[in-house]
Amino acid sequence: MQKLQRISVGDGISLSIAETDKFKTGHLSVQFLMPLGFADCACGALLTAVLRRTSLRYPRALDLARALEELYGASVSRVVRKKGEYQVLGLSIDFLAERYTLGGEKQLAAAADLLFEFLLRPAVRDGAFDSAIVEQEKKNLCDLIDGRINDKRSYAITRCVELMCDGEKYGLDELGTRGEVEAITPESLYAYYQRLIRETPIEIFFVGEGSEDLAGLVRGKCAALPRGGMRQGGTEVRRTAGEVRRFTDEMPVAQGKLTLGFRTGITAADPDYPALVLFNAIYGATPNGKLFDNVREKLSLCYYCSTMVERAKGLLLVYSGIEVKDKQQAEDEILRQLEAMRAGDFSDADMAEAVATIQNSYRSAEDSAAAVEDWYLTGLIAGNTADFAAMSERVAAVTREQVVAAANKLTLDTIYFLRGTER
Amino acid sequence: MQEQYSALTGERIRRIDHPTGLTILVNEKPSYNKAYAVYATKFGSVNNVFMRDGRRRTLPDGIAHFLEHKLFENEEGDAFLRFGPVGGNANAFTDFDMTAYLFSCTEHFDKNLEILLDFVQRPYFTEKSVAKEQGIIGQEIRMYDDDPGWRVTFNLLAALYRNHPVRIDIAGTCETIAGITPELLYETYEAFYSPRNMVLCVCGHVTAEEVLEIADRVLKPRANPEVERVFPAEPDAAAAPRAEQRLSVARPLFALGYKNPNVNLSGREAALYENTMEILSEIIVGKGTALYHELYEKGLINASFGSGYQGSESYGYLLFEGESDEPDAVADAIRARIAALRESGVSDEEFERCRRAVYGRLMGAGNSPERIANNMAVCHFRGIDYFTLFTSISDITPADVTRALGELTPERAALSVILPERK
Repeated sequence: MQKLQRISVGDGISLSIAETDKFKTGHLSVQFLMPLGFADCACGALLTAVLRRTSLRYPRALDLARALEELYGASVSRVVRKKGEYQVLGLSIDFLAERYTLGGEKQLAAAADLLFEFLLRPAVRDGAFDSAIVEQEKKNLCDLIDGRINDKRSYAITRCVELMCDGEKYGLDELGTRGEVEAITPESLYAYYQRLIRETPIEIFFVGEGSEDLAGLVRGKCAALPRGGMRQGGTEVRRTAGEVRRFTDEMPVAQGKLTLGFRTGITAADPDYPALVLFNAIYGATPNGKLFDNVREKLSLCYYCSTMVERAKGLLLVYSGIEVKDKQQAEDEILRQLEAMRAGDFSDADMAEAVATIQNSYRSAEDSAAAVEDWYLTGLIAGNTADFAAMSERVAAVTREQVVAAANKLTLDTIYFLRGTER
Repeated sequence: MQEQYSALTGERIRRIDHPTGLTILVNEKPSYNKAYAVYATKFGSVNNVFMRDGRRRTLPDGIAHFLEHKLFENEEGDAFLRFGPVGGNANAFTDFDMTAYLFSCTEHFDKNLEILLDFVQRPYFTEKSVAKEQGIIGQEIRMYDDDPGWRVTFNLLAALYRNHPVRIDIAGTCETIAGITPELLYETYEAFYSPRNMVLCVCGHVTAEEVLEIADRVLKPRANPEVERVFPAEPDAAAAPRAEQRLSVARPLFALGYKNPNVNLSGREAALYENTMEILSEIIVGKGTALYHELYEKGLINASFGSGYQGSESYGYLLFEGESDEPDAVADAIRARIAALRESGVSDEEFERCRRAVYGRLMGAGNSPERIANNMAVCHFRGIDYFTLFTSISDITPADVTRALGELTPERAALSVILPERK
C-alpha cells in the first residue's frame, strides 16, 4: 500500500487516498464531522438513512438498488459513529475492482458518481424531503435505538459511557433519542442537511486502485457545494475522575455484564499515549493480558474479560460477562490486577509480548481497507496523525517506568452492572 | 507440489500432499503484510455418531467445541500463550462440520506455524483441566443464551430438522458437557484428528516452500484410522412449522428457512448448487426486487433483513431473516412470492441482474486472507476445487434456478420467531 495522500479538494474538504492493488474491491467514503451538541444526533442519524433511499436521478428506491446490482452488487453503507466529541456522518460505497469484472467495466468513476448522487442530489421538493420516506426512516431509527438492548455486550458498554459522561457531550448517543427523532419533520431535516453540507468539515477516503482521476472528479462534484461558517469542534478531556459512581440496571438475562469506566488522563495527542497503548495491551486488551489470564483462565469466572481505549476522549473501559453471583469477585480481581500493574508487577517478557502484539495488529490493519480508514479518521479527530509505522516505533520505545506511570494515571469513574434476573 | 492458477481471481494455489496424509494448500499473496494459517479437521458439532472398527460410538453434544478449547492445553501449559512472544494472533472455532485452529502474523511466520502444528498434534487432557473448562464454556453457553440472533437461528434449525444433529447447539448444554471426560476427549481426538482428516490452508505473505519446510520438520507420522460418519435419516418435511421464544429484545426477530432435500452433493455440483441458491434468494427478495421495497416501505422489514443459503453435505437450507413487528406478514409475503415465481418462472433479465450481483459480492468477499483460507478449507472438505466457487457462476442457467425453485415447497419451511418479554 502506498503512503496515504491527503489533499484539499475544496473549502474544508479533504480527500485521502491509499492507493493499493491488493484488494478485490474499492472503498470510497464521504464523511461529515459534526461537532456533538451542535444539533440533535437523531437528525444526522436519520439523514444518512433518508439520503440512502432515493435521489433526483433515482426517485424510486428500487431503481437505485438495481443500479447498485448492475455495479456488480456494490453496497452503500451509512456511517454514523461517535469519535471523540464528533458525530461522524456519511455514506460509503464498496464495489468490485475493475480488474475482476466480467466485461472490464470502469468501476471507480461509476461508484463515485453514485455515491455523490446519493449525497448531493437528494430528492427534495419545496424545501423538504419526501414525507413518506422520512416517516419510514424515523420508525426504523426508533427501532434501532430501542434495539440497542438486543446485544447485551455492547449495550452494557454504551450504557456505562452514557452514565459516566452524563453532562459531557461524549455522553450523547450517536443515534440520538426517541424524543429527538419524533420531533423531526421533512422540512427540519432538510434545513439540517443544508447546514451539514455547508458548515462541517468533510473527509473523503478512498482505498483501492486506479485513483489517478479521482481528485479531479471529486473536485468537480464538490465545486457546487455552498460552503461557509465552518464549525470547528473539539473534545473536552476530563483528566481525572471524582468519586466512584455505581449504577445497576436489571434485565431478564442469563448472564450479567460488568463494565468499569476509567479516565486515563491521556489522549492520542499526548506524549505518553504510546505508554497507555502498551499498558492497555498488558492489562486487558489481548488474550495474553492479565485480565484474560486471571479472570478467565485462573478463576474461570467468564468467557470474556477485555479492555478498550477511546483515544480522543481519554477513556478506558473494562468489560466482562459473568454470573450475577460472581460480580464482586470479578470486580475485585479486575481492580487487583490494575493495582499489580501500578506496582510494576509485570515482567519484561510481558512487555516484549505486548509490543509484538501491538506491532502485529498495526501491520495487519494495513491489510484491511476499513481498518486503514478508521485509523486515519480517528487520528485526525484525536490530534495524532502518525501512521502505523511511526506509532509502532513509538510503542517499542516505551519503558517499564512509563507503563507504570500510565497505569497510575488511571482513575476509576464508574462501575456499571447489567444484572440478570430470573426469567 | 501441484500448482493451479485462476485468471479470473488472479490467484495461484499450490498444493502439497504431505507424506503424513495431510493436505496443505497455500495461496501466496506477497502484497499483504499478513500471513494466515488455518489447521482444520473435518469434525464438527454434527459428527456426534460414528463407526470405527465396526463399533458404533455416540458422543456427548458439544464435545467438538470442548475439545477445541482443551487442545490448547499441553503438558507444559497453555499453547495459546506461546504465540504472544512471536507476535502471533491465535484463535480457534468450531462449526457444524469442522474445527479450526488458526493464527495470523506479520513476522516470524515459521515460529508461529511451528507452534500451531505442534500443539494440535499433542493432546493432553486431565481431570482438573476438563473441570476448569466446564466453568468457562458454561459462561460461553450463557452468553449465547442471551443472544437473540443466535437463538433465532438455532430455534429455526430445531424446527427444520427432526433428527439431524445440526438442530443441536454447537457448544452443547451445561448438562451435556458435564459428561465429558479426558478419556472421551482422547478417543474423539484419535478418531478425527488424523492427518488424512485434516487440512492446512495458508494465505498471505508466505511461500509454499516455507510452509513445506516447517511441516516436514514438525509433523510427526500419525495413524489414519478409518472412521465413518453416521447421520440419522431425515424426512424431507420440516419437523415443526414454527418455533417461538421470548427474550429481552426491543422487537421481534424472525428466521424463515426452507430445508433442502438435495444434500450429499460434493465437488463442482455442490458449488453450482449453492451459487444457484444464492441467485435464487436474490431473485425472491433481494434489494433489486419490488417485493423487498414493498415490505420495506410498509415498515415490515428494515436494513437488518437478509437472505442466503447455508449448508454443507449433510444439511442445507435457504434462509430469510430480519427484525419485524409482524414476522408472519413477512413470512407470508415471501411464501406467496415463491409460489408466484413457481407459476411464472424467472425472467432472463432478473436472472442476469441477480447473477451479476451474486458474482460481484462473492468475488469482493475475497479480500481477507482469513476468509480466503477458511473458504479453501471448507471447499477442501467438500471436494470442491476452490476456484470453481467463482467460475461456476457463469455456468448457471435460468433452468437451474427454476429447478431449485421447485424444491421450495411449503412443507419444507419453518418460521422461528423471538418475541419481546411480556411487560
